[in-house]
Amino acid sequence: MDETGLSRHWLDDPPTVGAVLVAHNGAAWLPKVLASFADMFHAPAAWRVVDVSSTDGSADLLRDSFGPDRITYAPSGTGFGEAVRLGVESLPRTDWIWLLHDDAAVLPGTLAGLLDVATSADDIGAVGPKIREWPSLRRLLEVGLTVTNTGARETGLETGEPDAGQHDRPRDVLAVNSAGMLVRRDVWDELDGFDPNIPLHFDDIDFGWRLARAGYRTRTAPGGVLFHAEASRRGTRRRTAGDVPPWEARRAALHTMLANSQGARFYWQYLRLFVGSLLRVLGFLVSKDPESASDELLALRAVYAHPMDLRAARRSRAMTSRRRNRDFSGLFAPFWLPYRHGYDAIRDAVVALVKPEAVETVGRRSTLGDQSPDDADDLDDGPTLLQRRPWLVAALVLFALSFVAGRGQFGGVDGGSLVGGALPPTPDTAGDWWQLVVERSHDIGLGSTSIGPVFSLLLAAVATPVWFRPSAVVTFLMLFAVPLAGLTAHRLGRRITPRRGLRIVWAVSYALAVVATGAVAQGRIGTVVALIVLPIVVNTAGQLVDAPGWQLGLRLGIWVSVAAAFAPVVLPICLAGLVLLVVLEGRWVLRDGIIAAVVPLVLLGPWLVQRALHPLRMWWEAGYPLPGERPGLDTAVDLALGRAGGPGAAPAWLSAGLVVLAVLALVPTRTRAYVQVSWVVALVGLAFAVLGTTLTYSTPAGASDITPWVGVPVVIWTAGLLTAVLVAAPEVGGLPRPMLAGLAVLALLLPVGTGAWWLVRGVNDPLEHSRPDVVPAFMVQRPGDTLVVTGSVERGVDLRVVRGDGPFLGQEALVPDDERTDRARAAVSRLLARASVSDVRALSAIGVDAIYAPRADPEVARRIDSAPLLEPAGSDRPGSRVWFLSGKPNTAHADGPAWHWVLGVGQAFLWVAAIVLTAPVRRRHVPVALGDEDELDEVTS
Amino acid sequence: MNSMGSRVLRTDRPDLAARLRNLAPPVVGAGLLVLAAVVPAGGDDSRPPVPVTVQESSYACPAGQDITVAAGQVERGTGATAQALPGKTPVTALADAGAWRTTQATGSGVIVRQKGRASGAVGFYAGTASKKHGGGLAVGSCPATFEEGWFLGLGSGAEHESTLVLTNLSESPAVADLTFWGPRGPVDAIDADGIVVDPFTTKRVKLADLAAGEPELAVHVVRRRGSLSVVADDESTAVFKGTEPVSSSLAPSRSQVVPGLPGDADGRTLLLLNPGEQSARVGVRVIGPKSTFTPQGLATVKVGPGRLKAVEVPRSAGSGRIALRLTSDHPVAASVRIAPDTKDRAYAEAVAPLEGTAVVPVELGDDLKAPELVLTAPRRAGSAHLVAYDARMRRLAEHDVTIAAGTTQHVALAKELKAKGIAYVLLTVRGTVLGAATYTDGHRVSSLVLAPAPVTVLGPQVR
Repeated sequence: MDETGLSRHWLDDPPTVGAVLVAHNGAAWLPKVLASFADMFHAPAAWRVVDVSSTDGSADLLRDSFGPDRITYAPSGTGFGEAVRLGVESLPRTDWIWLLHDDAAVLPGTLAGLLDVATSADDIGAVGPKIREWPSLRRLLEVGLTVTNTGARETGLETGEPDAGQHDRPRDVLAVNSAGMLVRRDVWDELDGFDPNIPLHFDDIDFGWRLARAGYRTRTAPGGVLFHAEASRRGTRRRTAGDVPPWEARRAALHTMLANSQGARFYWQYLRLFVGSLLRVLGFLVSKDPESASDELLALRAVYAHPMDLRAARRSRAMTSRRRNRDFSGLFAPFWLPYRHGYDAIRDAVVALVKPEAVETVGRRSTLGDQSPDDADDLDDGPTLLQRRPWLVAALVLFALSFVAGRGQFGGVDGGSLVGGALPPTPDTAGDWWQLVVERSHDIGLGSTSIGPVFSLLLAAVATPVWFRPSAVVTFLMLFAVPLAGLTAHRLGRRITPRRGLRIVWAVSYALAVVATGAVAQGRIGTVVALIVLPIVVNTAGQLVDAPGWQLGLRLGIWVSVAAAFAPVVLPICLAGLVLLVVLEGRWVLRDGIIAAVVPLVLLGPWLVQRALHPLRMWWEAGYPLPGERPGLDTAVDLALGRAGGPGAAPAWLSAGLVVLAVLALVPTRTRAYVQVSWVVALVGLAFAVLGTTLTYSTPAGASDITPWVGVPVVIWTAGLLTAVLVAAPEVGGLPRPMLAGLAVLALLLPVGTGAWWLVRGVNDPLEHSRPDVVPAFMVQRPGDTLVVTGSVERGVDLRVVRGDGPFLGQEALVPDDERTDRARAAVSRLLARASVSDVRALSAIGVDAIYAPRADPEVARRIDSAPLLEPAGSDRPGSRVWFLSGKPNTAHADGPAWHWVLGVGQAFLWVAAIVLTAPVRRRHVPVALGDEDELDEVTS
Repeated sequence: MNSMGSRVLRTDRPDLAARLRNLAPPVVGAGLLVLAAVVPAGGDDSRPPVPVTVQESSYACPAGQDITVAAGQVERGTGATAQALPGKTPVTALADAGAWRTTQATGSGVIVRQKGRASGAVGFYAGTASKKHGGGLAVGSCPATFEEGWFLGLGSGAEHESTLVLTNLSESPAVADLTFWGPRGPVDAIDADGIVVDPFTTKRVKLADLAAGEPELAVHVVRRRGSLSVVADDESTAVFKGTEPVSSSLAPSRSQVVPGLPGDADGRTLLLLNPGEQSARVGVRVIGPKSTFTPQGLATVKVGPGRLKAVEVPRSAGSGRIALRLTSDHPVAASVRIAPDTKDRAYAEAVAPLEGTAVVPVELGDDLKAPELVLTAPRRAGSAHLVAYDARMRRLAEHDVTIAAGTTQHVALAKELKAKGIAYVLLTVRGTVLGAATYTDGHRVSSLVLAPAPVTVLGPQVR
């Protein structure tokens, strides 16, 4: 049925169309393809079939359908372009040539739709149909083609994008697929058809490009629809001798790009593609895909080692060229598209590495299914998303609620970032974090030549894609801590229980336990990251127990390293856990356990040594060392109920039900063994928490006698209790209903109550989104450092020397220059005892040119006031005092040893190497060739 | 059947050990929590002030034609500078950090800056005032930067005039606030707050310009900003004439000792300031040459709130060298005016017990004789070790003094340290000892509080 037939102007004088069908081992598709040709509204005037040495019976099918006279047999190895050339030569002269593949079926109106567009203007040289995937039928494959600067074929469509008529407007494009391409015969002759140097891939793009340079237009004709199995590209066509090698696709891309680039841009592209290809080789090697790396190198060699071929190709194109590339620049892909693809590829690689089972494919169904193009039915809606994917819905809800809880924290102040509590501001760019890793000396107050913290390396790597907004990383980690912790916990939950509902409640409870400690509100990014990662650590340990292997041991070590980089106390806790694992599981996990224990020592490297020299500093997490709770009855109660003290913690009684349930969980005998294991894990956490409250540590930068914050072990305690309840929960089935209801209320008290508290309170205070406020803004631009003085004469004075607006996240962990620190302390000590000129000059000599007392103790202020060479200045903050030192500060700092940057780069390399080693080696995907009966069963089953 | 059933029960029932094992996790958890509750928290994290070795000292001395300025130290310094104000003219005679040096500098004052680790640099000044200014002997120490000072015995009447000499020792402007009290209560003064002293200048503030017509005044001076030293000059041209530099008394406290009253029963006036808002009852005990006792007629003195009270010390206190020990129910500041005759007057101020080494100046001009030390051990017995040095810091003589508990002793330096050319004496005490040096020149008298040289000072612990 042709609903538009009556309005088609070309029907008055229909143009002649000659069709050329090229077949090569296409027996799997040909029956349906040939059938689709039988019922066309407007059929080609002439047909020619070219069979390229098919061995699967295709020739017979073609002969039966077209008769032996219309078939040309081409030898093995004949490219698509050459095959078309053979077909065209034996085809009577027509106005248009219609190119068809043996794996592409048409609809009755396909050719008519193409002619609608083809005849709409005189300068149209080629038109192409809207190509849908076969057999899904609704997914779009192509509606026109273009190419990126890096030589990537670009359709402009999303992967798996359904056809809803959104591309049904004809438009000019650079090229159209050769499958279904309708090309003017005179144009074809003028351009001498497809380039024989591009036998299969990219021939269509090259042809379209040349056509555009010759002054013609290529347009899409969405009214013509074609269903394409893409057998060659997807490797589902049985291969025979003479087929193009796998690297041909990349060679054709490079050849096309270089052959068609003009003027100075050619030289730029020549260099860029060379370097880019080498980078791609590196990328493939890093992602453990040696075959792709090899293909890339072979393609590079094939193009760059034959400059004369390239020269000839460029010369032939120049002969038919009438336009410059810039005249139709709008037909090319935007410049940023390759970077976007690169980002997507890295993201996919990371997702695949972190969560391999989450990687979904939009892969095709069998192309041999019963569904033919005529059977395109709508999909059944099925059950609701909540029924099908309850955890997905829960996670989305948690993300949405995070926006509510984090209200006011997502922005509002230009250049601001999350700060407050233990969280220093974020640097301006990710480069600052990289600098922290590799620089020999650090530009902080008093200078530093110490080794930067490892977590800055991790933050730098994660923040690199958002180079100029690294605060986005910190914001994401802090404000979405609940859903992130929930995601990792839920994944672990799959290992613990098959019951979906219980698992979701458990995961949400864990996630809320993180925020209930006050870790987010207090800006304790170390705790937050460690608690997000810890479920992955446990999950990986579980995988190790299931199937020991050095790669899993390595992966476990890496995750422990990530957590320990942010919260070093995780390291001894995990070592205790590993010992527990070996004790419970036996010697068969010993080797991999040792690997998991050694890897963090290597990856955390010299920074760990710095911490190990002062073991109690293992309690110092990323960020400022804000103290936790000291021992006492209140602390004991807090610990029991999963709190670690400080502002922003949820009411402790919300966890009371959990403790009761965890004790009751020991009652059922069937699950008791697992419940006891959970209790042991919980007790390890509690033991570390109690130990932490009884200790104190000091930092090299000034603060001392700090009672550790025990947020991490406290949540481990809570998580252990939660797991005990989760394991025993199925055993309550036989209890009376009132008792069940009571237990349910107790179980839901934590997630529901804490969730409500989280939403109502939010995660602000002291966390806030603002600019750094270590010193007043008017002091930031001063040439020297600022001495920040806090405390009192009677209770002691603490000093901190800051550069500019103070340290960013990562710099707070650096050790200031020892000698300068001692000099600063001595000078300030004398200054506050009996100020003299030499004390002030001593401060100038170490780079200080201002003194700031944020909460100025009157006695301290009076003593500083009495010092000579100090000029009092007004402060914009109530209760604070500022003095400027007269004289020029000596801001020259000593450089660290040259091996520091080597160490930083080496450490980064070690991380990359470790991650690469954990990834499986990727092999080229070789789909089962269709048409092979034995393998066919496998594919269709 | 029953026996079988009971056998089955026994078999199914977990034994005690198994039950205990089941209970172990919560019990261990509870034990850990008890541990968290009972483990003592770390000690108080406060860090009290500690002695800090002085590396550099600055002080300011009044200067003038009739004033001899002396500079010395406990140990040789590494360098010294002296500048006469207001022009910051170098005074080379005071610039040797390895000697006792004296000079008469011209100008409104002299600032001496001396470097050297634990050098203990100190300065003194001495002179005899003209008749127009009371005609008395004045010996005082050159103060360094102060925090606050309580000056008693000053006046702003026609024949009793006092002047505060404020010297700015640094490049930044300095600011001071003054508060006045008189016998009838707080005295409203004009422009007494925010007195600005320009860098490296001396400002003489006549009390009569701020609060005129007050024959008896107490002044509280607070340095608000900058590096400032203060000296109070007290002059009387009334019947009881005299001149004396008044040192700051101890800040108001409930227990204090006023040492250094010379041996004459007449002309001792106890000055008590109660800056609080409640009446203070002050008990007075005399620490005499042999014992401590309550003087007849002066057992208790009541001082009204915000009042300055002058009380005659009765003759029952004895004619020997004495000290007064004062205890009160509310903080008071105290000093004693000494006017043995009508020719001159001196002041003894309440001071803290001597800690460290004090420098007693001897060579303070041609006519001044070596002083007499009046030392008091208010509670337990104490001792003092005296070492005399010449101007080149060579040791000349030594002398030890023992002070019995609750007594006051005196040491005539000229008599006990038989040596010529003594420039200064270093006094080191053991036990709780307070004291003053009394200088006399005929009828003229002056008292100098013994204070430790700045070898170490208390400073906050810094980290």
